[in-house]
Amino acid sequence: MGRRRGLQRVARVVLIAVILVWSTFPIYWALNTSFTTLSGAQSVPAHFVPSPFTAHNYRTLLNTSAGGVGNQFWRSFLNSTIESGLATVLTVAIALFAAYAFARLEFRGKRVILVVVLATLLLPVYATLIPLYRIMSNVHLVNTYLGIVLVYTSGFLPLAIWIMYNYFASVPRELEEAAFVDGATPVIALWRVMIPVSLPGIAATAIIVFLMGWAQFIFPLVLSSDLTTQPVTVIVAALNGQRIVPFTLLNAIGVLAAALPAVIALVLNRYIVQGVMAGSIK
Amino acid sequence: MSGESVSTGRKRPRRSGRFLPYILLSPLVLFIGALALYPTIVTTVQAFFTVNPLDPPTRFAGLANFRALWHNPFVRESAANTVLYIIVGVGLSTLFGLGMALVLQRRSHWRGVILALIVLPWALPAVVEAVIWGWIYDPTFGVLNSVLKSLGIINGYHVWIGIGRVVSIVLIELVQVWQITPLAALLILAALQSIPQELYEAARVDGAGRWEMFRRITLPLVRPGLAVAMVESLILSLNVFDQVYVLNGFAPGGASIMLQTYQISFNNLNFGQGYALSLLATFATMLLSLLILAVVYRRVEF
Amino acid sequence: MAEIRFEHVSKSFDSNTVVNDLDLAIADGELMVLVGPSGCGKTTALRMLAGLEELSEGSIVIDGEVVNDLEPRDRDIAMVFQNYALYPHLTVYQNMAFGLRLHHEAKDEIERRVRDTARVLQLDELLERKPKQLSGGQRQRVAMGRAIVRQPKVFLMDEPLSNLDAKLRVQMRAQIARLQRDLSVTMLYVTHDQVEAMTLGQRVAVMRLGVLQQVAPPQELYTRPVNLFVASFIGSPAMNVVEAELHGEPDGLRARFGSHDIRLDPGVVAARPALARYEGRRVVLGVRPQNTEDATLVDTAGTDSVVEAKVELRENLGSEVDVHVGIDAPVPALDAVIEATESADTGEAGVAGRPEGIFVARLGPDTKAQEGGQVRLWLDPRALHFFDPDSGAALYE
Repeated sequence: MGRRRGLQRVARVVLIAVILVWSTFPIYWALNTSFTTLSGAQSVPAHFVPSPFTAHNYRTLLNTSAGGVGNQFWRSFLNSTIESGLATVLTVAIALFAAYAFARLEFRGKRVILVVVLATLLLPVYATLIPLYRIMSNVHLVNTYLGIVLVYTSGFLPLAIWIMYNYFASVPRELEEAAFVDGATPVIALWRVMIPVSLPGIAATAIIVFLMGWAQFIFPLVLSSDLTTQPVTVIVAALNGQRIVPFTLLNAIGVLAAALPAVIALVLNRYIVQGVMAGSIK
Repeated sequence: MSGESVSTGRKRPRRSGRFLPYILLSPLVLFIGALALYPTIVTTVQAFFTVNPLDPPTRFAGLANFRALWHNPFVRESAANTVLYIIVGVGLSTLFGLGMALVLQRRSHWRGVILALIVLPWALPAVVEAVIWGWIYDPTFGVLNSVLKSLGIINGYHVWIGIGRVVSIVLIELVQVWQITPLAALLILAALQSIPQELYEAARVDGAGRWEMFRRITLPLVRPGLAVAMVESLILSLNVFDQVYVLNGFAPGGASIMLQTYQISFNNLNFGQGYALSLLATFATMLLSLLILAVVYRRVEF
Repeated sequence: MAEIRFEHVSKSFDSNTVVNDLDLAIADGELMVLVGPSGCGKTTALRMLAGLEELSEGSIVIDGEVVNDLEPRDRDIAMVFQNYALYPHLTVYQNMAFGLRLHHEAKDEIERRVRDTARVLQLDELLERKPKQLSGGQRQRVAMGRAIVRQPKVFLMDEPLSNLDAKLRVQMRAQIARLQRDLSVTMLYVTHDQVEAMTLGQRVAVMRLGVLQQVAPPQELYTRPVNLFVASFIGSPAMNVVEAELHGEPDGLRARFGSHDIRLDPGVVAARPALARYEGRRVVLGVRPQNTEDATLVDTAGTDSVVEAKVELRENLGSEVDVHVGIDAPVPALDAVIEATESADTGEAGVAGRPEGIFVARLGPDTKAQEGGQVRLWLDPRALHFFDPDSGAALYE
């Protein structure tokens, strides 16, 4: 029995190790490639530790002279941050009030609206991609922050509402009733009780939406035409496809492009997990 | 005097602020109406029209777009490719996700760290991941070739993407699997955690072994979570674009439906056919989702 | 003056009537307990008074003013919820100050009231803690403090003690009673526990399936229940009931049930004119376990109400002995009795779902009654209750 237990433990540890290696190897490899020279990266057999070690690629990227790779990268990084950030703020604000209405208020047509909103979650990208492009084109919002933020928001709203609706629904009704008895109007109850109590859910929604915004590719590919608004994803794909930039530099670009979402995912992991799992309650 | 009769338990209909819900919902309705519902209607309707800046004006075309798509070998090929994308995507992500979820189920102080690292691929942009994986797959400089050769599994360096169709698709989809498995794992984990411990304890008292407990308790009761995870993976793999674009460009041997739609719409400017293809893909998504739900989902109540 | 009146109040959810034509008056400064089994409508009635539930019919009047259309915040009430509903993100101090701040009280006034109340409830050490750092009993006191601090006209309590353990419950019960007396504020207290009702209420209102059964001081409910339901619900262990036939004999009215035949007390018969109409007919006869005794332990002279029965179970309580005996007579299968006995939450000698034909007798500790043996049981004829066998109404006038 002891041996069987021990064997099970070993198997478990091995399994966890495999999963961890699987999850992190590509990132590790990108780091490895980015911190070395072209010849170092091309050596046979491959070096698992950068040798020679150099931060040259990253220094190159710090050079933001016009037309250079660094300039392109950082401008797109700024674009990504602004576009995701604004979309997150807008989405969370709208979803918050809507989710509260669904979770706590009674009104005609509630079920219908809720079902329709959630049904759009199942809509694949193509159902809206082309018309959205043509709409934005007609109102001259192509290649503008506003146009992109609006499109992002409309896409993220259903998921944001779903997550927050589940959070609000799980807050005991008695909390708000106590607030009403204490003298609160529905708006005060929302502001002073519901929202503070649901902060983890709101945070989770914001983080997930922000990450989704950062990862967007096909929409900005269609809606952005130049560096004014092109996000990091579009630039990285473009630089990669051009095959002008050495691949060690490309990996460095990839690392930096992944840096912000990676830090958020590692530090704020708890909220992401909670948000996804709360959202899976059917 | 009577108030509104409410059928849902102790909810209280508002006397004052009767308009409050509508005020709260108006931004949402505006956004969804204008930027989600309206475009969907446009797609649905204009699929039956000829919409092409190179061939004006926009005019009714009946089923012409659909017929053209059907006769287009590239479209048929991308459909077949997408089927393979879906099989690999749903299959592997669900399998790996189940494995991850089972591992994550046990509490330990390492769990937080493990969870953070597992979720990492999901948080990164697909394009960036595709770029990174692309260099791993690279025929000349990639570590895949290097390691496989050192292990003696292959003799010379292989070109992984772009030559063999099935191999290309599997490897491209592997990148997406890498990204979406954490999501499947979390959804399945949620379902796993909702299974009451007492069921396992009762089974242990009855003498069940670990494998039996897995087969007879875990698997049946985790079905709702599995179904949701599979539908999510289905939608994501049917929509696969970023990874295909980065790793394979517009080359036909590996193009996905989404890529084909993009090509037809923005490179060929044939929006009408783009709409038609979008519509077909949307229907396929819904059908397959319902199929998965019908087969896998079981309403579970404790 | 905070007098409360429910006038023809009804509440229905779809086709389900939860409160049926409730008429109830609560005097200023009175502690009224609303009691009944779950689903009887007591909580709904309370919530309608609070303004958390709309009325389907009727009106509620507080202090002479019809409040049907007033929001809870405009009714000058405070409420203690069953699960306390403390604001988890606020400290104890902020929880108690919340209502006062919403009413724009002056800062030092708030401070004074909160600290005074905290002292009375022994919460002064805990003012900076958050609810999740408190024990159940402490949370309950904070919930009460939050209500007290508002100095409302009316206090509403929705089963505030049901989540506490038995010992704490007894302590808090006394504290609530004391508090209500000191503040002399009108209080409506809802509970399903009839012991709580009896010990706390100045008057107790018994409800069943949305209908008010009886409103009276506790003692009156005990000695003069108005129907079989109230009689079975109040008092623990529950009253024994059996179908009997009244027949007139030269020595007076007698009751026959099964193989037993006892003589009724003439004084009781005289005080209940209705009994005369039931001569020769069936009635439901009720006797509380406390009103029985081992015939060998009392002087039964002048009475003829001893029954012989087989002892099925003996439970030693220390100061008393509870004995379950078999009575070979039909037990009325009225829903009222079944529901009342099933819901009685006493934890004392087996009450719920009493099997047919079993009487519970509470005997003195010296009784020699043994399980499997026989016992001669004396039923106190002055403490018998009588009910109509079809309607369950008690027979008095």
